[in-house]
This record gives sequence, structure tokens and C-alpha cells, in this order.
Amino acid sequence: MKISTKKEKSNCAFLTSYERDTETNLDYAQARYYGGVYGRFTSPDPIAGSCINPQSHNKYAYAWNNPLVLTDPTGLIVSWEDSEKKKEDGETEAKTNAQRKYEKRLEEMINSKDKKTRERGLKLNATYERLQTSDITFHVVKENPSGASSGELTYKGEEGHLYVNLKGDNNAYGALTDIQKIAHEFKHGEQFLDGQIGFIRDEKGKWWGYRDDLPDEAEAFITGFEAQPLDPAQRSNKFLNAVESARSFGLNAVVDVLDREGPYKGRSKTQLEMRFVGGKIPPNVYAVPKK
Amino acid sequence: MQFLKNKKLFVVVIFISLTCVVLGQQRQKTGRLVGTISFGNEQTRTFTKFSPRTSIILISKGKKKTIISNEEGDYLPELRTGKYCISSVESEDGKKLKLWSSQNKCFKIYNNKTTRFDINLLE
Repeated sequence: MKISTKKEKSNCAFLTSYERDTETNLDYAQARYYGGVYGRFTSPDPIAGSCINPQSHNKYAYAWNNPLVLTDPTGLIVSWEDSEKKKEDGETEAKTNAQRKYEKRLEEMINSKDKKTRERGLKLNATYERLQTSDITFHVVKENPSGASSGELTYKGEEGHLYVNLKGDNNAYGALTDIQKIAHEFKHGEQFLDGQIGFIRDEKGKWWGYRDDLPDEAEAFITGFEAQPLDPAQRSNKFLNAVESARSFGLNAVVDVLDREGPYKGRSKTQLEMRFVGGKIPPNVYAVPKK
Repeated sequence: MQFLKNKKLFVVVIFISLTCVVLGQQRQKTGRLVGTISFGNEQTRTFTKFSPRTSIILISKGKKKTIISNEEGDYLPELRTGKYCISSVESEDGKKLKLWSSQNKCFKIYNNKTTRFDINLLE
């Protein structure tokens, strides 16, 4: 993944996340979470290549198995940039738990005897490689680790930098696992690169998710469950169970579930792309225009 | 004396009233609505075009509130917290526009949060 040094003013934004409104069951993308700048995600090294090279996973000689080592002193973050920093310090195999877990999962899938699983693994790996080789730096961070589990893609106003926030670890209510969240948010990263989603700045300077519609969310959920199906405990979550069950019926079926059951209700059912009047991106929008 | 007393009382009442108004305004809770209004085919769920300069008339607690989409069909207003429902949608020239039958009509605005709510119109 390329590392951009370009910087803009420091505002914040987010892309996906959800909360359920039990009264109306209506959609609202929740408040954006703003934090400091938490490092970079991956290096120019072809880390994705390591997913299909089992040897690269056999050398975890350091103490990085301990997640505490990878936790910011503020308790706010576990970042793949930590891995980057360790590499800069000469520790070539240092990885965060999240990175290690995700890459291990990709490796398992790619080496699976099941053809469908292999294909899904290769697809996920292609997305991972796409993010790594893009002009955008995707920072994988974990803010509020003790909070409820959810994920979001955010923009903080620094051109060329997006944040994949894995947020909490609390899966008490069957929320998504780290692997599902990473695959889900990486899909949103790819959607950003494809001009399907973006960010918009309000008059107060805050950045918000933009044109993130139900087909975008459905794609991301499908990708998350392709990376890791729901486990029995997660099935107790009615919403997640309904989404995963709809997956085999295709994208529109998942869109229907998101519109009917979930906190995403109210978003567009059509794909809203980054097309603008005269082809010019408005000054308050951060997006890749759709070609 | 009575006149002076009443005058003082009047000033105190006015002061308290103004203070209450100012404090009330300061405590007004708001959230952000983010959305895009577009035309599309409901059967095929395909997008046709965005709907610029469109008036979206909302009703909340019996009061009407109109928001207007920008050149790109987007809207990003700050609204008071509460439940809002679409009353009608009108084009720039005042023509009533029809919503998809499956269009959700209502949404909620939460304090310091953003609500994503798009509008799909029949082409």
C-alpha cells in the first residue's frame, strides 16, 4: 500500500457503522468518531503476497502474540502501522493480531480443498492487494476497544488517508468478528476506489459518509460473511442472521433485508455513484469520480 | 412606590424570560441529515439520474420543514432531534414528484449524530 505524505486540514469523517433504533427501526449512520492520526496500514512490501506464501507466517519470533504490546498507551488503538513501525525498527515479521488473523484466514481459504472457498479467498486477496497498491493509505485502527463491536471506514480530512476502524471487541450480542469487519470495511475501501462511495463535508467542517447506499452495504456484508460465516453465537443476532441467510439469494435479497430489518433502513436501494455535474467533484466532497 | 415595585418586577420577569429563551436555544439538540435524492426504476432498482434543486417537505411534530437538494441532488441539513416524515416532494418548478412505493417515509434525527436517509423517486 502506498504511503501518502500529502496532508490537508484535519477534519474527520466516517463511512459505515450502524446502530439499531428499536423504536422505529430506522437507519441512521451513527456519530462519527474522531481521533488522532493513528499510523499507517501496511508497507510498500507485498504483504498480500504473504497470504499465499505459508512460509511467511512461520516466523513470528517476537512478542507480538500479546495484543497488549500492540495497544496504544491510550488504550485506543491497535494499528497495522504498529507493524510498520516495528519493521522500520528491523523486525521484519512484526504484525498486529488483526493483520495476522486476517492474513491467516486468507491463506486458509486460498489453500482450501473446497473450490468455492478457494475462489472466495482469491477474491478477498485481490481486494486486499488492490488496497495495498492504491494511492490511498488505509489505516487499520481499533478505537474504543471495549465498546460494542462494529466497524467503519472514515475520512479525517487528510487527503490520501482513510481509516478502517474495527472499533470494539464486545461480541456479547453476536456482533461481527474482526475478520468479518476487516473484509467488510476493505470492501468499502474498494468501493471508494471504484467511485461508489465517498465523503462529504458539512458547513462546520465535519466529514460524513456519502452516497453509501444499500447495495454498497449489501456487498460489504456479503464479503464479510464470505471471509467468515456466522458462528452459532452470532446467529442469536436476528439482524445478522437475516442478512447472512439472504446472502445465498443474491445482492437484492440482502438489500431487502437491510431495508426491512436493519439499522440501514432508509438508504437508497439503487447504486448512487460518484457522478457530478460537469464531471467536477464538488469542493466539499472527497471521492474518486466514477469513470 | 407601587409603580416602582411593579416596574422592578417587570424587569425581573423580562430578564428571567430572556435567560430562559437563551438557555433553551443553547440546549437545543440537533443532528445531521445526510442523503441523496434520485430518480430510478423501482422494478429493476436501477438509478436514472440525481434530482437537483428539489424541495423535500418534511413534517415533524405538526410543523413543516422544507429542505432543498443541491445541484448534485444531495442534502446535508442540520435538524432538531425528533422524528420526521416526508409530506411531499416537489421539483424546482413546483411539480409534485412520486416516491417509490417501497420508499421509507420517516426517519429520526438524534443528538450529535448523523442520519442517512435517501429518497428514491419514480422516473
